[in-house]
Amino acid sequence: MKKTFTINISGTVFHIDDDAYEKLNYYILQINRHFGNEADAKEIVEDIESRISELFQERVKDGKEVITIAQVEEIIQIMGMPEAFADTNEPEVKAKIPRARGRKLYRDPDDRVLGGVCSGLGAFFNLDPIIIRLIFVLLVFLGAGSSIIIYLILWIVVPKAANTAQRLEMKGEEVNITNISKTIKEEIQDVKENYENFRTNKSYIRGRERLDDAGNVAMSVIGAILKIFVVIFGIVLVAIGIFSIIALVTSLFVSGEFIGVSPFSNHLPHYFDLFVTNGTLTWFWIGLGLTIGIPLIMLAYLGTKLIFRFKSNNPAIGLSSLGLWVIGIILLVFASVRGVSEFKSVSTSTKQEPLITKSDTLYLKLGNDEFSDYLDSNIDFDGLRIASVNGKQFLLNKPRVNIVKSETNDFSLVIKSKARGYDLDKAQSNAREITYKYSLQDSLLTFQPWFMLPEKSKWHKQEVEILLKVPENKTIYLNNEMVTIIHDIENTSNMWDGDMGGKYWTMKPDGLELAQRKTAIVETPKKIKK
Amino acid sequence: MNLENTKAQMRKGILEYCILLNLSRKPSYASDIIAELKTAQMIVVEGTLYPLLTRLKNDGYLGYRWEESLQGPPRKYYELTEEGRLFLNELDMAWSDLVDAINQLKNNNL
Repeated sequence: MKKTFTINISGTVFHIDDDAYEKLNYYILQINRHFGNEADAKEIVEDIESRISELFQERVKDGKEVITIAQVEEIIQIMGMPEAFADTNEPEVKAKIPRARGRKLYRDPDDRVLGGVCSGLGAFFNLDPIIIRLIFVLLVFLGAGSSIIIYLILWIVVPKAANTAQRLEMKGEEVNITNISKTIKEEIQDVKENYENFRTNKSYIRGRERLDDAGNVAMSVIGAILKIFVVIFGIVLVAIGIFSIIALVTSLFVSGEFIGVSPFSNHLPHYFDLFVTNGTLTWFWIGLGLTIGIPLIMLAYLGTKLIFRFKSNNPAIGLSSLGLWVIGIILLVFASVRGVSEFKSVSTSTKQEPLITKSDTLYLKLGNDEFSDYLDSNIDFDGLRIASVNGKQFLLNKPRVNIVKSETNDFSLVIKSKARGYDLDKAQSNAREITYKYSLQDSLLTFQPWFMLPEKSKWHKQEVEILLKVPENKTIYLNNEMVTIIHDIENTSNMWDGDMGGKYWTMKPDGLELAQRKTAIVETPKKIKK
Repeated sequence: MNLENTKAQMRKGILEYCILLNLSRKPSYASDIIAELKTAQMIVVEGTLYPLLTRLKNDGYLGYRWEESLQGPPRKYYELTEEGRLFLNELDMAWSDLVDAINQLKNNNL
């Protein structure tokens, strides 16, 4: 089934197929252009049209048959192309050079190093391919590695000039100012012709057809403007696409050195591997790269298509990019599920150690913060800190100290390390790798302010809870800085943790009780801040 | 040198002469002229004829009138003007000269 038009050629009505009409219309347009400058152009074209009409009449006997594209081709064969019409009396040079229909971008298979992209671009911009190649190589060496990606994209999407016609199109007319103005003139000429047709046809064509012609005139004007906008739009698309791809690639792979254009926080990928296992992370980045990258590449591709007007209706490009995009989404989901499953099970590792001291009073002190100069000030993730020591990264967090009554007559310390993991075994081993240091010297018990994970360990919601067991009637002294790590200590005075520092506490049968004693010697004056 | 091209050039040179010859017998319309010229293998593509007809008309050698047709729209019948007849006579002489010259060349009779 085909759509047909009803057309009027020099006073006779014909039915004509959609595609045949396109062809005939273009042919008559070419003739019009050929004689466009001559004063008697209109008469010549009218004569030719009436002959075409006659030839069609011979072929469509009963007036009911539809003119096919084959018939139009036959008529064009008989009438000949306008270039062959050259008037005998005019000097040969005036014979019009066949018009190349604009230049198109192809890859040149005859002159190539890799894919023929550079030679194709050279032909398009009328430059020696060597120059384009040099530019590409220079760009790569100057650090614009993305030019490799651009090359690959062009290699994939730009069609190869497979036959002679395409090779001619590839070399086509020069793209320069003269030509651009020529093209615009042609567009204007088209607009004029349509307008002219619109006026002259008035005498024959009534009603709807007149409206159609008015539409054609409007369409030509709009079309000419649109073409210019399309090219500008194409350039914008390519620019956006390529810049975003560069930003994406840079933020994914070299984020540490990247300076701010990236849509992501520039530190995030750098630290991300502390939270997710490497395998999962890789899949996550690939997934993210595909989900964001594919649309950007398609954007740039669309832009190049608009600028260079090459036809590439290869469905493989669309389908494969859609496929890759879906794979990207799947990878993201997979990586997320896998990442979450890293936290499925919880396990605790408990160590109880006796604190041997002759004294009845234990002085509790917060040790020096040996990481204070190495902490990353940007990261404070639920108390979690990152310390970079000599290029190595460690995860740190604060322990929580609690004080309870001992069942025995000795002081003792229970260190509970808790962690999550994919299964119980993993969770257990994650809990065991936590290191926490304290020291006991005579009656001075020093707590380190941080518990630490070994280098390259991932975050698995590790926690350390320290229980200091104090026997009845024995006393502890809480140094002022201890308040930063004590957590919810029960006491008979119902005092808040924050107020418990700098005081003596005695374990009574009911619990800890504030003891009335003066400030201990362990409190050096410079440390009293609170 | 391309044979076809040379032949085409030769034909092109005398195409106007042929049109005038055709019209000297009786007025006729474009398709009749085309039919005759095609039979005589003087033209290959029909489009060639129309610019020539228009130019000859504009130069005053041809005139035309519209005639109703049984099969369709009115047809444009071309005919020689008085000026055209004089022009044709000139061309006749030029052609004889040309034929003579060629014959002489061929027979090496110079």
